[in-house]
Amino acid sequence: MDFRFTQEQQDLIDAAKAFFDGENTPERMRKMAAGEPTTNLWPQFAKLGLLGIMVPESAGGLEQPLVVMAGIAEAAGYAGLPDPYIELAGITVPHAENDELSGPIRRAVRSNLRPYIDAALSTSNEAVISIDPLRNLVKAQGGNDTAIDSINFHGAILTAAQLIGLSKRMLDISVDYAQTRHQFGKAIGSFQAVKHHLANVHTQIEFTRPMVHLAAMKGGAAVHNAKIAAIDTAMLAAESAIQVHGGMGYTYEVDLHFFMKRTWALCGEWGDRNYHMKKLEDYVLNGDAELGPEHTFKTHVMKSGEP
Amino acid sequence: MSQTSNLRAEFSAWMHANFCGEYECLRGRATPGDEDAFPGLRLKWEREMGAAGWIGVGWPKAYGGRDASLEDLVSFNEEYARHGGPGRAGHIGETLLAPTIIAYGTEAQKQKYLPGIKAGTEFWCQGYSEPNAGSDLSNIKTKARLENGRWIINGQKIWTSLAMDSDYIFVVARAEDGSVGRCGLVFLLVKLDQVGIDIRPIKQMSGTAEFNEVFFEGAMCDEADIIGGIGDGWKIAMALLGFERGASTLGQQMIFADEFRQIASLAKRNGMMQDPMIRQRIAKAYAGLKIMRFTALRTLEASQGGELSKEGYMSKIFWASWHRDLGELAMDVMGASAEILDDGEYNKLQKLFLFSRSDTIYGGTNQIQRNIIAERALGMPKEPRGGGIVIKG
Repeated sequence: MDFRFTQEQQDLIDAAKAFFDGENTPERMRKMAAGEPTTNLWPQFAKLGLLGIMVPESAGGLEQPLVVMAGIAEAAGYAGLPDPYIELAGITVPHAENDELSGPIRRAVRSNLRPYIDAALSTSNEAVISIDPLRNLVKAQGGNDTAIDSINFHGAILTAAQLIGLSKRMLDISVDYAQTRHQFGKAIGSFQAVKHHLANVHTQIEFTRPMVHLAAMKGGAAVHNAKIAAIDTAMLAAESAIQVHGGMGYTYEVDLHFFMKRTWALCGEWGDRNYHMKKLEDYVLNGDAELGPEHTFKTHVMKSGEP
Repeated sequence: MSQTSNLRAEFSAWMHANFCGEYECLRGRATPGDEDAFPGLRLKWEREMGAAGWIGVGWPKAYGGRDASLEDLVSFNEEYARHGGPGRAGHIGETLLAPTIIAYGTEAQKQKYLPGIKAGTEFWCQGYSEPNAGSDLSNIKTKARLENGRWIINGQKIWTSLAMDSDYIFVVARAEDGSVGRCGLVFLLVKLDQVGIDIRPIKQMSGTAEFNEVFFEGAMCDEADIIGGIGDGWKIAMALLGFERGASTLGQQMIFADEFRQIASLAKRNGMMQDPMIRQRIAKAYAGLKIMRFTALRTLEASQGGELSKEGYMSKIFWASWHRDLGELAMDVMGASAEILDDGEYNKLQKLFLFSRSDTIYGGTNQIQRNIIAERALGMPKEPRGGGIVIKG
């Protein structure tokens, strides 16, 4: 196992992060929620090469593995990026036919685990309204996809990665708030009852990221483990963040609610907690899981059809 | 347990006969998270209840009440919730301020303020929290000074529920220059409709605005509009909150029970009840509901003497945490459709989820509740304050 990114990969993730953070500011999100026009980022996604992260080199792409896309998805989650860039570049593109890659792709793949898709990736006009005001969703059309397991694999990993980014953002906002908000003559962050919440979130984030990266590299039952861990971390991050913010956290005025609403929306996408927990239970108890210590260091190679 | 009087049957019959027709649309509405539903009709409904004598049933007969026992009050609240009566627009005046005026007010104040509350024609809101006095509630900066027989008030309150539909606000303000913490405060009764008061709604993440900021700039009330004396403000403010933890708790639990039933029946309809993890969580929520009910009944019996028993300190954190978890259960039972707003509106369970994010915050956060439990119920030392401020009293 090697969890380290190469310098080139890390630079790519950092560049994507700087771009997302710079463009998708809270001001942009507020404008979008109010129905006002905002910057169209698609030309820049293309210009910066972000659409070709997972495109084979032979087709002019960067041919990066899914784990690099997970790093980029974490950055997108951190920024609260509402544009369906991750879905397109990390799920649709790797499952597109080679001849499709020569032109611009603007569609979603189909999956039973994602009943609603972004309107920008669909021709459907059956609009539905999300609890997250920045997600423009339509009902997904039924139908088959040949590589459905791989699609669900990519979907779960990249959603989990976005949840890590969202968790980190909610944590950072809360740490800032706990240092500036004073009660009882002190910054509220000096009270154990407050700071312990944030320490718990930080710990969970750091323990979740390796799981998600491992699952991105190896697939298999780790994918279920990763999505469950990411959901638990993100729900805890949201709950702790609003608690630390007190009444302000419940207002529209602070930015926190944008990240909480995205979190609540993404937790259920590409398999909710119950779905992945059942899969994990089946794997551990009913399947052919190799459970002993002699299997700890065995390299698991993802078989076709997994997870 | 003693025998319940016929108040339950009498009120139930009245609800049956009167909570219908134009009021039908209020059924189960205006619960927490849904406070903006039908404001005008709800005020009319309050007048309906007032005219029939159903506001202030717990007050002494001398002030138009029925001197109802605690058990009767519990029955009253349960029947109201059982009939699906809407959230009470007048509850702050009826269940918080009126008992405070009756216990600590002057005869003139009783004559001046109780009739409007009793008739369901005058509404009150609570001016306690300030931007820098939240968890640290005694850090009040709003100032009041006496000038030519009037109190002049300057400052700001925040998180004021229902201020836009209210006629009056009770304000805790600092009357002694240089005083800190719980000392030097006054408890004033102030008319909202005056030039010195500006009410601005706070937009919530759910999009509605139930809370407000209330700004005071030279706002006035009569010298006599003070409950207690100068320096008694904190004592009166806390006594008022003591009335809150009363019989309405059981009415609130009826709302919880209704929410629980909706979640359980949705799980039966959409097949989620097959899921062993959902089953466990539904059963656990049921157990919590029952624990809350019997604990509340026992606590109320124990507090018949007037003083709240130690269990009372624990009720808020228990129900708030239970309700927060219920909100998450509701979303999980809805499954993938939990994210979607039918017709662009939050449905009842989505509102429950969003609102229950604030349960562990308003009215004293879970963290403050734990401090209260540790310090008052267990007698542990107080958490040290910063800034070298010593709190007296």
